[in-house]
Amino acid sequence: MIEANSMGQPDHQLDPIEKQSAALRELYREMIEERDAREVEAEISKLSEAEAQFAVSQWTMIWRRFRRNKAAIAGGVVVFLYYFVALFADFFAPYALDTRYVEQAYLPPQRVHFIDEGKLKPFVYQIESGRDPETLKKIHKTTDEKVYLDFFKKGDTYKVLGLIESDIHLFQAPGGLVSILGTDRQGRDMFSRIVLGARVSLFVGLFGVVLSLSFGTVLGIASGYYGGIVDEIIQRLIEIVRAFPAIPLWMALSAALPAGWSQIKTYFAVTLILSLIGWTWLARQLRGLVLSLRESDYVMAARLAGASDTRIIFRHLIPATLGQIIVVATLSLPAMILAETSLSFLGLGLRPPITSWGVLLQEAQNLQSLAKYPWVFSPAIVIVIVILAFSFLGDGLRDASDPYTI
Amino acid sequence: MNPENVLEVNDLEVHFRTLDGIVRGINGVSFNLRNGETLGLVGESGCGKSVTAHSIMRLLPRRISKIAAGEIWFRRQNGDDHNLTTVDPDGSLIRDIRGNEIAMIFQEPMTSLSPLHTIGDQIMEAIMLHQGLGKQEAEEHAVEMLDAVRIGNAREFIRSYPHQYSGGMRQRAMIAMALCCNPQVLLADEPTTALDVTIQAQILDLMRKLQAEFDSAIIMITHNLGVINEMADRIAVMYLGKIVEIADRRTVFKHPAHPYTVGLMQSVPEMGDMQKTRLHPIPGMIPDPFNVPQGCAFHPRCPVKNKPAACMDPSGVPLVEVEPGHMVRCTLYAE
Repeated sequence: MIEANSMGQPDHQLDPIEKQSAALRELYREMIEERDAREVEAEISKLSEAEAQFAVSQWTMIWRRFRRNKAAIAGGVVVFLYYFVALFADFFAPYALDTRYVEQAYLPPQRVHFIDEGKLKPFVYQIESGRDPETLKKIHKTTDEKVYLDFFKKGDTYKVLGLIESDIHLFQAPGGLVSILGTDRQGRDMFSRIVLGARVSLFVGLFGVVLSLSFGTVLGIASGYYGGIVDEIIQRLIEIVRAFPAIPLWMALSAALPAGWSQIKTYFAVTLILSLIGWTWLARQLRGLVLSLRESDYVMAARLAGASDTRIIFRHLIPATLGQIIVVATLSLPAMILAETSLSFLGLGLRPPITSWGVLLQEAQNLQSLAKYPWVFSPAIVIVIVILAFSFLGDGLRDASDPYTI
Repeated sequence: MNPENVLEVNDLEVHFRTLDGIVRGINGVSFNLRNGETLGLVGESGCGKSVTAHSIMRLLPRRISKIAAGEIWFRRQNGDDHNLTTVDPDGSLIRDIRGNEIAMIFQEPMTSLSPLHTIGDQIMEAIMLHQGLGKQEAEEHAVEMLDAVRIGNAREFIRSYPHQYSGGMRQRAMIAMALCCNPQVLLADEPTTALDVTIQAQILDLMRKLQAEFDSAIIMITHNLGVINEMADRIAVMYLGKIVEIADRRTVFKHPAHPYTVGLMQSVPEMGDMQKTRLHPIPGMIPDPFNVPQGCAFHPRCPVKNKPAACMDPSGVPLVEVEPGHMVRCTLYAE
């Protein structure tokens, strides 16, 4: 048995274990006495340093958790791509909104060939259009002539983000027409129109969500925090707003928009209408959260420290509910996009010449096109993809926003 | 299994998957629980006391944890021995055992009782489920149990809801619930931590009386050394997922052999100690669970000077019997 090195106790009739135990006790005593206060302090600060390293911030935890959810990552990437394309829509779209190829109306989607004679050189075949002499039906024939695609070439002019003039497009088909999603009744390229329409559709959502989030946050938190008569009034207001049947309300409100308004004005009016209805959900959720948070000890502590209501709301309650707000935002964006689409589809929202996905779908609003020209419905697929992407992203954020539960 | 024992835990290892990697919550725990004895399980927070209890009950969260190695042998009332680590955690066997032959008292009497059901219903549920009694008989039995835990006017209180009970009464109701099926093993996970000292004393007293009456073996988990001193026959001291010392209560309190146990005992103030002596906390801190020191996990904090190389041996330090019934995991006692 190895002796613990220490002065040791005088050994009476102690057995070796008892002796060892006493020796260890003595060692602790020595150790404590040797250390002065400064050393102890250094140790404590070292301890909290180590703890700080160990404890990562809430945002790091949220990110780590979010990263594990593959569907959410995929959703996030898709959403990002959509907005990126929408932002630089003029560059990605080969043609402007109103560039018409009247001859090639209702042209089916063209196949893009990538390999030409063993080299990577994308091309489409030239289209020859005419009418069937007997039925007068439009027919498009593919000829053998190749139209090569040129990348980063000049085409229709536009302004980047409405500021800088440019005429460079991602791809062009000099001497012919490239239409990967076909053309519509007036011979306009569907792909260009979808890309350009994304600008309106996606940003109506963004703008509308910002508006309804502000309404929802302010009213929801005020309602939960102050309670009493304020709560009563806001909750009844929410009930009234929710009690309105949505579509007739939209119809009434958009009928009230003066017909003479400019495109931009109508556009903002439509988002305003959407957000005036959309805020109630967030307000209810936040009220519930704040109702429980305002009873928590840290809010009481803030009040004891003399913090004002404003300070408590902005320093403590809004950060505490931020996760919830972000989640509601991502989940209500697709709702906004869908609402715009349905409004425009019904002819109540945006009208041509503004082009949004809803407007595109409205133009395809008849049985004949569904049967003969199914490609004019391609905006629907584009919408489905982005809505799904938003839902995956929102789900991932919701799961990640509370990183402390397993 | 040794006929003296009702529960034998051998080399139990439990792993937890976390975002930062695998944590070995329990890293080779072995102990025996004899019939009718009280074993105290002490140690700092996070050393694996509760995890041990939950693995015996097979109540570990399934998605993030798993029993990686080891055996938990349990003798049922009918004499059959079962290795609980291989039992389906949702199967009928473990459900027959839980609440019936192994019962648990939780730390939080407030959250462990359902606010939607009367105390009587909650006690009767276990009785009807395990003993196969009818509603009438179960109610009689529940009243008896509440009487046994000294809830006056039990016949009336049986129809009360948890919020109508005081904290001490709730804890007593929990104990009644745990004991109503006469379990051979009772796992008490910090049963008195939420209570004030007078009630604490009453509850401990009660547990001891009931133990004598029903002949249950108790595993008492706590970091309150006073409670342990009051209750335990034997004490197992845990540090970072390992048992570092097991001995009878007197030995652990009078002459503990492991440096950690010595430090633990020294850091408790003694009642009636007239001298103004300083407390002697164990220096250093519990290591990060992801980087448990190799060899003896305690060696960076150990006060012994000129530590032998065996302390850092990655294969670990074995538990050796230094005197009859006194096991220590320390190189000081290596043969």
